[in-house]
Amino acid sequence: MAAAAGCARRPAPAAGYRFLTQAEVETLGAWVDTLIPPDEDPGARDAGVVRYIDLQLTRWFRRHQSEYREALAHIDRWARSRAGRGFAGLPLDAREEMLSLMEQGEADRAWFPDGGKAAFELVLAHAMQGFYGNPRHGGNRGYASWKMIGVPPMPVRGREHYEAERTFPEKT
Amino acid sequence: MPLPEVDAVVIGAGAAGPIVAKELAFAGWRVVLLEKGRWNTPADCRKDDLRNQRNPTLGYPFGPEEEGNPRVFVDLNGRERIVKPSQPGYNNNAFCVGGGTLSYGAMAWRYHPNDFRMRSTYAAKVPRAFENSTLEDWPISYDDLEPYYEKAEWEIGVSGDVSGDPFQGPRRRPLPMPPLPPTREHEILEKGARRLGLHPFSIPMLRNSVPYNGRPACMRCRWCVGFACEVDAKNGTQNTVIPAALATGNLELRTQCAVREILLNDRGNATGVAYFDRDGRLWEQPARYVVVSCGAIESARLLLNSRSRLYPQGLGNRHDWVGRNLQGHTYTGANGLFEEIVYDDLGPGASIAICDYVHGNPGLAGGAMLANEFIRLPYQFVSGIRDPEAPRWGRAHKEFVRRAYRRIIPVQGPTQEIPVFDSRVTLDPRVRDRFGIPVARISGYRHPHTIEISEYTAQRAADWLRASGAVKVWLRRAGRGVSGGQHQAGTCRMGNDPKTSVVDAWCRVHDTDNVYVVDASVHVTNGAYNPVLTIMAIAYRAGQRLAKEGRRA
Ligand SMILES: Cc1cc2nc3c(=O)[nH]c(=O)nc-3n(C[C@H](O)[C@H](O)[C@H](O)COP(=O)(O)OP(=O)(O)OC[C@H]3O[C@@H](n4cnc5c(N)ncnc54)[C@H](O)[C@@H]3O)c2cc1C
Ligand code: SF4
Repeated sequence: MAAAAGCARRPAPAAGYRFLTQAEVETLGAWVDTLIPPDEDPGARDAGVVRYIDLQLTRWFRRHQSEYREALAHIDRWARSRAGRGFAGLPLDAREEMLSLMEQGEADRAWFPDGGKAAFELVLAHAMQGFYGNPRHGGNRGYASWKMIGVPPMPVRGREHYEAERTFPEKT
Repeated sequence: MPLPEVDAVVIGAGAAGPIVAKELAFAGWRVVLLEKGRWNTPADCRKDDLRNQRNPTLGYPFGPEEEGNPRVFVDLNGRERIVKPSQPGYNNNAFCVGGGTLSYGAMAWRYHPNDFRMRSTYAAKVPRAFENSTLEDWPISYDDLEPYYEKAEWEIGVSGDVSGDPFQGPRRRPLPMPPLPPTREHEILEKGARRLGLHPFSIPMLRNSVPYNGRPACMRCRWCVGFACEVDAKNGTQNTVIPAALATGNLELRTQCAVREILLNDRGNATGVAYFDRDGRLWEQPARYVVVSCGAIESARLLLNSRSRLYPQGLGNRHDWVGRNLQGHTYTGANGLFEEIVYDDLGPGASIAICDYVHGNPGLAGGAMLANEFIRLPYQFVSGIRDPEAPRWGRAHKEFVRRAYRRIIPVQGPTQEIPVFDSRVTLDPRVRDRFGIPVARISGYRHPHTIEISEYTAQRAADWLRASGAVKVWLRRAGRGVSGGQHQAGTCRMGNDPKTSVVDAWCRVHDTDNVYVVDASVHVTNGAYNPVLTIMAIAYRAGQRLAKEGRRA
C-alpha cells in the first residue's frame, strides 16, 4: 500500500492491526487508558480506541504515522529510564504523572525535544475521537461512551425503531 | 467544446442558484444548472459524528473533497499556509446539490429592518463602528424583500412561531407550519427569559414539523445540523425548487461540473461559461445570461478568474471591490451548567430564541439574535463545550462528562459583523486546484467593534442562563481573525454606485448586461441572524425580475 512508500524497514503490524506493532499496541493501550481509564464504565482500550487510531493511521491520519512510531518508542524508553519498566508495565499513577509532565511540556527532553506537548495533544485528541465518536470507525465499541453518558445509541431509520431505542435506561 | 446555447446558465446549486433556476424554468427559459459537487439522497445521510459538515475530523461528506481543492489562508501575523478543506482557515460551507441547505441547521431568519440600514441607524450614535470599516446601508429595504421572504417561507417550507417576537419587521402571513413541541431546554430557558422580561419564542426553521410539500415531519433525531436528513424532513433546495424545476423539463442539472471562468466578448458581456466535467474534460456552455451562485468565497474567485481585455483585474472588478468585505458571523455566547438534567435527546435541539439584543444595545452598532444550540454530540461536547476548568483527561474527566453532559445548555448568537475592506478573497498567485485554476486566498481581520458587540451579547447569554437556573456559567468568546465559513457573505456587494459596489439592487454586475451574482456575496451587511432565508429571498427577487425583463432567444 501507498502508506508504506518510502519506508522499506516498516515493521510488521500486530495480528489484526494495520499499522501498529504488538509492542506499540500495548504502549498505546496503556497511554489511552491513562487518558480515559476504566472504572464503572469501560476505559479507552476496551472501547476500541487503539483500533480507531490504528485504522486512521492508514487512512485519514497517515501523515501522523511517524509521529506515533516515534512517540510510542520514546515514551517507552523514557519510562524505562525513569522506572526501569516499559510504559505499559507501569501502574496508573506513574503513567498519569508522566502524561502530566508531557501535557506541561516537561517531559525528559532526551526523548521529547518539545517536552512532550505535541505528542500529548495528538494522542489526547485522537483518544477522545475514538472514545466518543461513531462506532463505525472502530472506537466507542458497544456504544461504551454513549452508554456512559446516558444517550441512546444510533437510531435505526424509521420512527418506531427510534422510539424503541429511547427506552435506554436514564442515568442520573 | 461548445454546446448548444441556452437562455441561462446558473453556476452553483446551493441556496440561491436553484431558486433563480426554478423561477426561470417556470417562465419557460431553457436553463442549465452546473454544480461542482454531487447529488446525495436521504440514504447518503451518514450520521457520523466524526465526518459531517460541522465536524470534519475525518473529512467533509458533502464537499469539497479533501484532495485537489486547496485554498491559501493568511493569518493575523501575515503568515500564509496552504489549507485543505478540513484544516482551520479553509472557511468551508458545502459543495453538493443543495449546497449548505442539504446539511444546515435550517434556522430561517428574516433580517431586522435596521439590518438593511446600518449606516442610517448608527452613523451618528456609534461613530467608532465606521472607523476603518465599510459599514453601509443596503440599496434595498426590508419592505422590498418582505414578499420574497414570505415566498421562501411557504415554498421551501418553514415551521416555528414568531408571533412572540416584538422586534421583527412587519409580515403579511404567518409561517406555514407550527413549531415542533418544546424540549426540556426550551421550557427551562423560556422561564428564565420571562424572568428577565425578555421575549422568547420558537425559532423559525426550514424543517417540516408536520407533513409538508409531500414529505414527512421531522422525527427528532440527534444528528441534524451538519447532516442530511434521512426522512427528508429538512427543507433545502435539493428537495424543493430543484425537483420542481426539473419537472418542468426546462432545467438540466449537471453535477460534478466545475466552472473555470465566465466567457466574455469584446463589449464586456458574457457569452457563456467554460467548465470541467467529472472526467476533467473542458466544455463551453454558451448562454444568454450567466447567474453566479457559488457561495461568497467561490463566487468572488470565479469573477476574479474571468478576465478579458475590458476586465484585466477580473469581471466586475474595475474598482477593486470584488472579494472585499468578506464577513460571516462572530458567534459568541455562554454555556450554563445546571443541577438537574436538561437534556432530553430530542432533535434538532435548537428551539428557542430571543431578539431583544439584535439592536438598541447601549453604545453599540448592532447585536445578535440569541438561541439555544443544536444537540451537542458527545465528541463535540468534550472537544469544545465542556467547562474549561474541568479536567481534560483522566479519572476526573470521565466523572465530569458522566455528570455534565446532560446538564449543560449552550446559548449563543451570530453577532452582526462590521465589514472591513481588507478582509478579502483574492486569487493566490501560485496555488492551483486539481484543474489548474487559481485558488482563493483569504486574508483579513475582524473589526474591533465586532469583538466589542460580541462580548456584550455573550454576557447577555450568560445572564439568560443564570436567570434560567444555571449554577455555573462560562463564556464563549470571539477570535480576532477574518470570518467567513458557513455564513460567508459580502464579497460582491450590492449598491447603487458602481465605484463602491459590484452588483446593482437587482444583482446584475454593474459593468455588464447579462451577468448576475445572486448568493450571499451580495450582502452589504450580514444581519444579526443566520443568513439563509435572506439569501433565498434575494434570489427569488432577482429571479422573478430576470424572468420578467430578460430577453430570451
Ligand atoms: C452545517 C451547516 C449549518 C448551517 N446552519 C444554518 C442555519 O441554521 N441557518 C442559516 O441561515 N444558514 C445556515 N447555514 C449556512 C447556509 O447553508 C449558507 O448560508 C447558504 O447555503 C449559502 O448559500 P449560497 O447560495 O451563498 O452558497 P452555497 O449554499 O454554499 O452554494 C454554493 C454552491 O456552488 C457550488 N460551486 C462553487 N463553485 C463552483 C464552481 N466553480 N462551479 C460549479 N459549482 C460551484 C458549490 O459546490 C455549492 O454547492 C449552515 C451551513 C452549514 C454547512
Ligand atoms: S432532527 Fe429532524 S429534520 Fe433534523 S435530521 Fe433529524 S429527523 Fe431530519
